[in-house]
Amino acid sequence: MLKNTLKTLLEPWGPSGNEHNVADVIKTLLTGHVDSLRTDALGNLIVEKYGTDDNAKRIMLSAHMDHIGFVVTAIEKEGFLRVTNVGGISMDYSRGRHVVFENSVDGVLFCQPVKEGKPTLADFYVDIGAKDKEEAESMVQLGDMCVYAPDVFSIGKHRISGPAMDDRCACALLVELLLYTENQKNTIVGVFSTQEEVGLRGATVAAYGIAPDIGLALDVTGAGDIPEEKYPAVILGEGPAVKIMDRSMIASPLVRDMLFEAAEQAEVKVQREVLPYGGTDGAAIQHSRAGVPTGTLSIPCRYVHSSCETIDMRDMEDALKVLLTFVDL
Amino acid sequence: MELEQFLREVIAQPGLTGHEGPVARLIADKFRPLCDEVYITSTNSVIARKKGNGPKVMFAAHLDEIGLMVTKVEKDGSLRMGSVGGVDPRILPGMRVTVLGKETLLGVVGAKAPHLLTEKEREQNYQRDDLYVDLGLPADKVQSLVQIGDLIQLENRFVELKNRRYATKTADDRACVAILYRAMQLLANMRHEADLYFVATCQEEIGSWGAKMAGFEVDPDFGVALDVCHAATPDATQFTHEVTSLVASMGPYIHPVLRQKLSDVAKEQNIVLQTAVVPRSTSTDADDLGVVRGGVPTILLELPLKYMHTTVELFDMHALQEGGRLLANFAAAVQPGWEDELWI
Repeated sequence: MLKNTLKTLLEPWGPSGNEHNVADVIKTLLTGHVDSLRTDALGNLIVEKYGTDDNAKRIMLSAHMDHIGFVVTAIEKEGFLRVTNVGGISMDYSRGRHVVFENSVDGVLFCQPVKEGKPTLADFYVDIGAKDKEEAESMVQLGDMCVYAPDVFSIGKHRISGPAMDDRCACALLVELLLYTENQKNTIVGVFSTQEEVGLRGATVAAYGIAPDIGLALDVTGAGDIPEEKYPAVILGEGPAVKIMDRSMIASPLVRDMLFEAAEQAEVKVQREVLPYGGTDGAAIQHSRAGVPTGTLSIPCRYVHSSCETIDMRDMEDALKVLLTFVDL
Repeated sequence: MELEQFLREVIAQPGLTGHEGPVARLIADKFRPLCDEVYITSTNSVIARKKGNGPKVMFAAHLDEIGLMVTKVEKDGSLRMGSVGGVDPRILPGMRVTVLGKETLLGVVGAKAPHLLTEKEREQNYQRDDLYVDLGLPADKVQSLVQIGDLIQLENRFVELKNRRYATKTADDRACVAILYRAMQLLANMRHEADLYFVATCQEEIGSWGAKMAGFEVDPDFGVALDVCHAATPDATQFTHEVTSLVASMGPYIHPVLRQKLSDVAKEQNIVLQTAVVPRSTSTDADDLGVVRGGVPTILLELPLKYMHTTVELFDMHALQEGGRLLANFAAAVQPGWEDELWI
């Protein structure tokens, strides 16, 4: 069930470059349900489910496993940790956060008083309860990473909040697609990609290695239905969004129109997305080798890159319907 | 076909970044009689080949154009817009546009009249959020014809000024596509050893992606990117060049030996070539072409124009024609074994 798969995938610890725990969970879910399963040099988990059509296209679907976090840059004599960002961290969302390291050490992320102007990351520190440097060093080392602690909860009837929704909700969709699709026309090359948040690095090499006929990235997009939002944007609960363009890519008209076609066949309402910022694995696939027609299907999400990334399960269910039809077009 | 006619036709064809299909098809048709084979890639670059047995040379000029995209339909049917590539909102008030909706619709970019602005508002330029496209249609009609994500093309007449100067939209970079065309015309009566690829690239205006993708496809031994640069105006004398002749850039992204070879050809042919010093990336197709696969020695040839990224991009037809002559003679000068000389 989509919701259970999502909850399972929101748990594992996995900042950019350290996606192995997520990959392990996905491997367990998919083993026995797909035709092939491998991990490449950058840690991308690549799964194939062959199509039945004589002219089956190889469609690369990408959902990234990594999420944003922090890395320890210094350990001070009082036992506090200094950190810098891994991916796009917002200062406003970071003060007073529960963070967690891979070895289960917990910490509080806080900001020291700032005399002038707005705080920068240099003003932040992590308190892991150590009394001095020596004790802190027995718990974590320079270069260790931490993430917002997984705190997943439902709000209202249909909505779920959590820190790794970007992009584990898409990982859940891709897992469910691979589990439930049967005898589809086209070959699905599912890529659970790494290092998206630090520059689409996993999808770049995966796309090169796979050389697909068509690309589709699955990712969240900022929902604009919140107070004082300045960009016109998609609405939570109004259906998945077909990306027209963002800062990284103009979606290939071919794939964009395939998504509209799939939505129509599946009788699902989709939104049209023009995002004045952001980027997805789609850009890396589209510009790979001599070019790959590529689009992105987005899940509307409020509070992207915060510890309460919020999505609506109805958008997820509808996105899955679109995908099941898409791979059969 | 005369160059002016070629330009008029290719500039009239829509080809906003990421949606270059119509202009790519026209350019492929125009190139076809002048080359041995031509095709359009999956992302709408046009690749035309004039066969030879020598080194592979790729010439690249981008065919995409900047424009706008509908981001919101207001209650009264006005359209809000985002930009596709770098569009300066200061040029937009009063602009005639075409909205590529379910039908092709003529529109104008409007804003609050100056009489209705406050003192303070009058001191500032209009920002994009102050502007909208007006189609003259009732709101329900607009709703049925236009959707979020529809393209908005900037429009203007193709203006011939005195002294062989022209002012038009999208001279960036279809004037350089015309240089490719001119070089192909001249090469019909010239010998060449090199295996020549004339490529009109897609998606330059959002990051020279077309050159990266087409470069991978062609896998050339050498690359020559063609793009526009800034011609001098009374208020911009630094980093600008005379509008009357071409520019060959130099800098870390430009292969020095290959550039010298271009310069030698120009000298032999009495073609005036100005120099630009570009200390970092060139923000042209040269950047990505240079690092395709294992790396491609690449140079950059530029046509100066005034008023870049407006609908009155002004260039000199004589400079454009000299560009065609330089490119053709350079193509003819390329000899087998050049790739070995380049590293000495």
